[in-house]
Formats: sequence, structure tokens, C-alpha cells
Amino acid sequence: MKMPFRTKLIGALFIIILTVFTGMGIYMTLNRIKEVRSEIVSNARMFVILTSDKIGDAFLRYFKTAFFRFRAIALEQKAMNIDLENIQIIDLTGRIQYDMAQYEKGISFAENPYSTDPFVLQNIKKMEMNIMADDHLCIIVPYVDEYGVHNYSIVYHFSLKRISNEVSNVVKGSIAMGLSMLLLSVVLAVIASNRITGHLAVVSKAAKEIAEGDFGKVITIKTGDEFEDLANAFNFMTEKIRGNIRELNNLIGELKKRDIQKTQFLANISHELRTPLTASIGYVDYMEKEKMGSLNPDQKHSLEIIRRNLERLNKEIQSLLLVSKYTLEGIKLNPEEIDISELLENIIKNFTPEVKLKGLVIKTSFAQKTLTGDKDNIRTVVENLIGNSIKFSAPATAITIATDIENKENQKYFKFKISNYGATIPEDQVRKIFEPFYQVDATTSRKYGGIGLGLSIAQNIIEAHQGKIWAESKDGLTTFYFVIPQGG
Amino acid sequence: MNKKILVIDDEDDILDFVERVLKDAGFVVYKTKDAKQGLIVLQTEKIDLILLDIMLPEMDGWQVMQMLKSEEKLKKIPVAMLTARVDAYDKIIGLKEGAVDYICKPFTADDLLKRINDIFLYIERNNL
Repeated sequence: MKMPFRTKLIGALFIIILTVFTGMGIYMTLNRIKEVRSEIVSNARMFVILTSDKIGDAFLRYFKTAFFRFRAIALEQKAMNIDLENIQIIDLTGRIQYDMAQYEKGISFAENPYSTDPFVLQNIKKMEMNIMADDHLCIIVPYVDEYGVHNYSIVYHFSLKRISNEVSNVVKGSIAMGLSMLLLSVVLAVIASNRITGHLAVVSKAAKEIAEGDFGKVITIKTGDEFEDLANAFNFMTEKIRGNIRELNNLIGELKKRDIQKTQFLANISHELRTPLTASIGYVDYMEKEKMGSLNPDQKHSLEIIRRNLERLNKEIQSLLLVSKYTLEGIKLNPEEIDISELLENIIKNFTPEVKLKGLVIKTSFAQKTLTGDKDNIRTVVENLIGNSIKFSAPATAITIATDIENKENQKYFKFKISNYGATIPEDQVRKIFEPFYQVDATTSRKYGGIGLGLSIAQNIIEAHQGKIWAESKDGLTTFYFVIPQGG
Repeated sequence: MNKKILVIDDEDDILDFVERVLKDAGFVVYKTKDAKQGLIVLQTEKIDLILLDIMLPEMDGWQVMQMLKSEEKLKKIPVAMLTARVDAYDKIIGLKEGAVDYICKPFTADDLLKRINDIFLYIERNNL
């Protein structure tokens, strides 16, 4: 999942602050609870020590005779401690003699009730101070009169509410602080991440520009920190890349120049090789036709062999010239409407000697009779394909040639197809045969002659026509196809 | 009257062959190895057809052609280019520049004679 750095930074800060403040809050709360509790307890202890005698004396002296005086003294004492909720005076049987809270609420009993508090009942007779502080703080103080008699105990009830009030204050305080810290941290994170991502954005933008080929990019970050280091490293890298690219370009230029020189050389050589052929073929053909006196059969046979070999030589040179020319200049097309059936009949006629020699039959079916294309180039392709088929046919087999028109995605295609029986081209080589100088195996060229340029030239030409050429070979049946899109 | 043909090609053997074929066919043949000598022939003889090689030393076939076309006296003489079949593009330029035909090397005697006869037929028909 892709998440911007800023979101991650803010998220991380958020989690950290939340954890820290929650921990701190809990710690502070627990601490405060302990503090407040011990404060309440020690205050209460002090308070009961200071007041128990006074309240006890007042009880004995005034309770029955001057109750209101007693009440005033008791209330006066109670007012001195904020946590104090109630003061009871209970006799040793557990009977409640005075209950300040009940009395102040106006509730009076016909008969004094017994206390139901088990802690009170358990400790009422004891001669020492007893403290219970779970949900509330209860302190039982025995009252001993001037004669040393213990008849009553004074029971103080303190409220621990102050703890929860304090705690809720602490919690509120820490939540408020946490929230403000969060807000502050988000703001800081945004500022910090803007600074960081701002620099990073500069670097990543420059990297993109470099990827798109603008290697002149130099980035400037003057922060005196790691970002400046990053920028410097980046600039160093682009400088290196620039150097490498310069070197590569020089190398490519050099290679291109050499390739052109090589091809030029090939073209020149082919041209030079062909010049002597013109006079040779011309004369041999002239002599063979007995234009310079009649010949005996042996002479005629020999001349025929010379002519055939010269023509073969010429054909190979022609191919070399074509390949080098196409490489140097590309193929220039001069499209016209070609009577393909006539062209094919013509070419097939020229192959008659070879066809007869192998005892082949050529079957044709021209469902499409015309083709728009460059006539000379198309002738070269078809000559190559037919020549190949004848060359690789097993003796006394049939070659079928067909033309057709195909419709594919609203586009009309001229389709040419030629099949022959003979050796099967291995599946992994069916594509490779269109590479220049490729022959299925090294012995092919010895067995069949030719330096393997025909199909490469054919492919160049068909592709220049925006068409496609391919071969299929299975169980001895090899078929070559080409398609060329037709206008309209 | 026999037609007069001027052949300009720097290859002796090709000149020799062309001369032989054309003479056997009844033409009068003048052969020269470069454009300069060709021009000398053109000054003195009334030539009916020029066979011009493209690859010539010093002045190539196209330059010769331009020169011929710029002279009032010579510009009506038909010119056929002798060159390689692969130079198909040259053909288009050649015909535009004023060549009447284009004969591919290597050629047989039959090829040559058929093309020359075609050219003369074409010229006759069009009264050029």
C-alpha cells in the first residue's frame, strides 16, 4: 500500500503521543489517588484525635440536659473537616445514641436503633482507635470519661469522594493537555514533513526528469544536512550518467558509422562484382544462341552451364546489393495496381527448367487477380518464395500457389500462399529463417546453394508494405504466407 | 537508313558486347568511354539514340543527361540509361530527368534489342 510520508509521520506521532499521554495519565491518576487518600486519612486521623474528647465531653455534659449546646459543639467540630460526612456516638452494645446525619435530616427514632455496620459492631468495644477505609473511611474512637470508664465510642464517617473528584480533574487535565499536544504535534509534523517531503519531491521530480531523458538536471538543496548530502550524491550520479551516456552515444555513433561503412563496402563490392558479369552473361548467352556461329552439342552444353552459374552468381550479388541498399536507404515504394496473376504466371514460366528437372507440378488458384504494391519489389518477394519452394520440394511433388482477399477488422488484405512438400522446418526456426544470412543448418547452403538473403529481403519488402510474412511447417508440408493491406 | 546509336560506358567489355549485338542487328554503333568523347561524337554525327551508363568516371550519367538536355541541338536525342535493377528509385528519377527507358544490367542480347526496338517504335508512334 502506498502511503505518503507525511501521513506516516503524523500517524506515528499520533500513536506515540497517545501512548505517552495515556501512560502518564494513568500514572498520574494512580499517584494522585494514593496522595489524596493518604491526605484524607492523615487529616481524618489528626481530626479525630483533636475532636473526640471534645465531642465525648460535650455528649456527657449536654446531650441530655442541653441538647442544642451539644449539637452546636458537634456541628462546629464537623465544619472543620470537609471530608467528614457523619458523626455517630454508639454505646458498647452497638446501640446508636446520636447520629448527626439522621438528626440533621430531621429523622428521629422512638427507640435508638442498633448499628448494622459489622466493622462498627466488631470494634466498638475496643479501647483503641480503629480505621476502615475501603469505599469510605470509618474511624472508631473509644471515649473514656474523667473516671476512666469507657461507655461510648465515637464513630466518624469520612467521605472519599474527594478522591474521584481529584482523579477526574487529573484525567480531564491530562486529556486536555494530550489533545493540545496532539494538535501541536500534528502541526509540527505537517511542517516537518513538508520540509522533508519538499526536499524529497525536488529529488524525485529530478529523478523522473532524468528517467525521461533530461540528464542536464542539477538540484540545489542548501540545508547543510542529510538533504544537502542527498542532493550532492544525486548530482554526482547524474553527472556520472551524463558521462556514461556521452560515451555510449559516441560508441553508438561510431558503430553506426562503421555499420554504414560496412554496408557501403558491401554495396560497392557487389557493384564491382556485377560489372564483369554483365559482359560475361551477355556474351555467353549470345554464343549459346548461336549468334556467332553454330555450336556442337558439347559446346552448347558447356555454355549453358557457364550461363547458369553466372546467373546464379548474379542473383546472389543482386541479393547482397538489395540488402545493403535497404539497410542504407530503406525501401522506397512506388505502388501501382499489379496484375498479380499475370506476374505469377510469368515468374512460374521462368522457373520451368527447374520445375521440369525435379518433376514438380505447380497448381495455381488466383481468387484475387490484382494487388496494389511496388511491382519490382513484389516480384522479388514472389520470385524468392517460388524459388525457395522449388528448391526445397521433394522430387515429383506438387506446389500449390493461391491468392485471395481477406477481410479483417474492416481492412482488406491481399493474401498470398505457397505450399510445398519436403523437409519440415523445425518449429524453433520457423521465425529465424527470415533473419539475414540464416539457413536452417549450415549444410543447407551447401546442399541447396544461396547465402540466405531471399527471405530477409522478402520480409523487408512486405513490412515496407505494412504487411506480414510468415511460415508454417508440419509433417513435410511447408507453407509461406504474406498479407498486404489494400486501400479502400 | 541504319539508325545510329551512341553507347557511353566506362567498361570496355560491355562496350564490346553491346557493339557486337547492335552491329549484328544492323545498327551503326559509336562507343565512347566517357562523356567528353561522347560529346565530340555528338558534334559530328546525327545520333538517333544514346545508351548511357550511370556510373561514369568524372561526370556521372545524371550530369551528362542534364548537359544534353540543356543544349538545343542535343536535347531531342532520346537517352536510355544502363544501370542496375536494384536502383529502382533511380529509374523514376531517370524517367523524370528525360530518359526514355532504363535497361538493367546484366542484360542479354535479346533484352537489349527488344528494349531498343520498343524505344524506336515509341518514338515513331509519337513523332518525337
